[in-house]
Amino acid sequence: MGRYILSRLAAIVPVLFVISLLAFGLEAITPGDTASLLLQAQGVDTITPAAIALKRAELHLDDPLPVRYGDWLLNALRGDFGRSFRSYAPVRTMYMERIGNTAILAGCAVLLGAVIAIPLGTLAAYRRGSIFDGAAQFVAVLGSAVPGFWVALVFIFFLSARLHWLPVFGSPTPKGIIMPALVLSLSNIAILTRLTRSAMLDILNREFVQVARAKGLSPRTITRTHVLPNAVVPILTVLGLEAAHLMTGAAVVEYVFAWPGIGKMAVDAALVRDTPVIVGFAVAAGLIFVTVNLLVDLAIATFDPRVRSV
Amino acid sequence: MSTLARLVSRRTLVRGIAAAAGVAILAACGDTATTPTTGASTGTVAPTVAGTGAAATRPGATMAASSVNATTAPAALATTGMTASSAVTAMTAPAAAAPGAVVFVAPPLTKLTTPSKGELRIALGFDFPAKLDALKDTHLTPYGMLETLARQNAQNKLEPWLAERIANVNPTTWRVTLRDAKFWDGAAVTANDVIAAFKKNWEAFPDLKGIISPDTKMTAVDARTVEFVTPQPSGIFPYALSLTSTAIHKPSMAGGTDAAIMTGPYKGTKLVVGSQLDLEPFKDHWAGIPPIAKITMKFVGDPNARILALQSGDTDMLYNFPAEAIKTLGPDIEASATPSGRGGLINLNVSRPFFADRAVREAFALGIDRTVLNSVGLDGKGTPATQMFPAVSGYDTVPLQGTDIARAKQLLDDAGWKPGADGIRAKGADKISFTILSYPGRADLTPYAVSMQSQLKALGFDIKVMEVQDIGAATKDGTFDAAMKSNNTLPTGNPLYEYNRLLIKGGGDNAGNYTNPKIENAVAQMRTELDPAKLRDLSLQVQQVVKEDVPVIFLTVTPITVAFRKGKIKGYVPNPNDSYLIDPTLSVS
Repeated sequence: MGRYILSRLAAIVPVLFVISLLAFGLEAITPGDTASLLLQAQGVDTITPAAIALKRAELHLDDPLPVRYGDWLLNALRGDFGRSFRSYAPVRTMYMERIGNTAILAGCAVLLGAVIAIPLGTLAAYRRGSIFDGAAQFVAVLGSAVPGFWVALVFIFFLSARLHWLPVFGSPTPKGIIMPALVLSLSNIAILTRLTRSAMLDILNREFVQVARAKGLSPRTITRTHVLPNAVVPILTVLGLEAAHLMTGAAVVEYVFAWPGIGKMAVDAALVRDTPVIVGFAVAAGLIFVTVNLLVDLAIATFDPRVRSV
Repeated sequence: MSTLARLVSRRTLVRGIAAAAGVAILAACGDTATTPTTGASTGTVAPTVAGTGAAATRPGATMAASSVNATTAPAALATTGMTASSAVTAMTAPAAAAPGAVVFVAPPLTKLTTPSKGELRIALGFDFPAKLDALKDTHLTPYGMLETLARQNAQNKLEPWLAERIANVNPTTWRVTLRDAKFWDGAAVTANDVIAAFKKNWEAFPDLKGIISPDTKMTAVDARTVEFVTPQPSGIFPYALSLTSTAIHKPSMAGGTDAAIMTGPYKGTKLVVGSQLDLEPFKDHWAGIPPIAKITMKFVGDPNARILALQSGDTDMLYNFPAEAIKTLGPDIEASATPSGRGGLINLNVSRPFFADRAVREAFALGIDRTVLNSVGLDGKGTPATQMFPAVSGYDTVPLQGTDIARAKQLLDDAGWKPGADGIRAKGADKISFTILSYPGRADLTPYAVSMQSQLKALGFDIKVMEVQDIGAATKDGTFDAAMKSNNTLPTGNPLYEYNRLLIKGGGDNAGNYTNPKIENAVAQMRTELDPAKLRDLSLQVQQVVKEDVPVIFLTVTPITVAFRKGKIKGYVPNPNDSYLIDPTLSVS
């Protein structure tokens, strides 16, 4: 197992290298002039060629792309991911300041999703055709079809503006996290409910479950020892991917609730072509996905002996 | 989850990000003009005529004349019958303006002594500072941190700000007397600090060199008096002292390259980039103790969330939100939409075959119903623009084209542009078929373009509308047809600034690289001319050429929207120049 973990960790390096290369390359071929967008963002009223030239020189934008990438890579290997073109703050500090906020938000959303979706999906599978099944289907469709920012505004309208129960702006406090986490978890709940239901149904119809029933085992024992351990594998896989997705893709919710997370920062950076922050985000996102995947695989291995033997 | 549902979810996310992008680019596009306005001082602008002892509002209530008037010694000389040479002689008396020279004097100041109290929470959708460094971000003036030597008040009149007196002692010499002010670190603001700040400003903002020559000689006459000697007479000089690129600042450590120490009434205590800015009062400010104990500004990308935050009591004040929301705010919210100096316009690329013909350009201007644009883009809260500068500028203006479809058709017919079978007008192989570029940074621009597309169809114009993120990059190579732009026409409070950037070859906002010898001539004369009557005539000449030649079409005047909880905020005065929001006149209850 130790060797397995090491080999997986070693695989992170080439993955991050490719991601950074792609992020750099894609950013470079995107239309729009970085210097001009940054000057606009800095409040310069009239952008003249002289101002653009000065900004380009300051940021070394006229250096060939391979040189810029090489410099970045050498510094990145030393843990220095550069400074934001816009705020001049070190990219690593910017992410370290915010990653905690994003992790709390994503963590709560995943937890909320699991707590609601897994029991609901299980009930729907066991009571197929019942009101629980109907509720599960309804939640699944609603969670997928309704735009997150719209739900966010509806929540704010009722729970903040009308009832004054919760603050409009999200914050990592018990009251401040409820709405953003709930909105963020909606699509997660939809996916997990559907997945849990179908995984459970699939396993409930397997021969080994029928054999267990024929042996006279109680339904509770069958669920605990035969159904859940089998169903948990796909659920964990999706839960992990969703967690990584929420860590990196919560920009919209972060926007509406003014939550200082990394998603919103990355979108802001993309709009002004703040290359170091964009590349930093790509690397951070890659790292998050790879790490979460590894953790999920390790978790699955504890449930599934076949994985351990690989 | 079904694939379809998943797709919908993803598409929603993408759409959401696009919407967020729209909001954020507002920030990106923000110039000093897009930033909050202020509780401007209600004091008078006081260009006084030295020697007469009288505070003289300049002759002609009109802006073009008045703005030049105030800058010009010869103007005043004319009034007293002095000659230029006598002014030079008089100038030798230190710290005194020549008799007859125009002097700007700050309004009387009553120092604030009441201890700071209360908290003000503001939700903003854009124009958020990214760094508390005056050389790296010019968004610091609206938030009460950065100060310039002069500024425009609520009537768009220039008044000394960090200076208490700006005097033109001869045609090329301006003497600036500083207030008894301190930097945030407690050190006095001295003439040498001003000189050092100007040197850094020229380095950091190359455009400034085109407005105030870097060859200007600066001398510290005494600790609080700086003398600027420009290579040539410069009418715009005192006005340029209100540009944020001429602000006064100093590095956080002696010899440093930053500009983190400023002089404003509020200093930043916490900045989370793109998210939050907290301010605390600077108790040694020259105006006295700033009234508000804590100011918290939050960047909230979604305008609806901002409005709901005001309604729920999570924020106290909104600045620049969609005008159509005013009617939905409810009785306990006080909201206003007042005219700003900002407006929507279209730059025409006169090198395109159809726009090379003046008749097509004028027909375009005549074919637009600006009332409809005001309605679709600003919910009727703005003003249709039929002049270069809004009425709030106070400048003298030449009325430009309004709506006149019949005349537009006549012009096109006379010029040989006849409708084809498809209804599109053409002349030989050239069709009036073009694309208007717009950008999402200013939410009203694309609705204007779409509205014009349908309005001008009746005239035989075939228009496509294309939205781009970076309008500067999209128009850089000169191959565009027409481009939307939102401009603050009032920076510096002097019309010359707008002519320089919009109508002169190489001007920063002259996207179509338009040039006209008459305008080039008139503007060249304006730069060095100091006689107000001549300046007024020259300014009107420029606008007359714009009317005849139509290189740019002016569309609307954008309102400044502000809302706050009733009774919460005192002392807020909208400033059309859109560059001042927080100042010591603003307090909370």
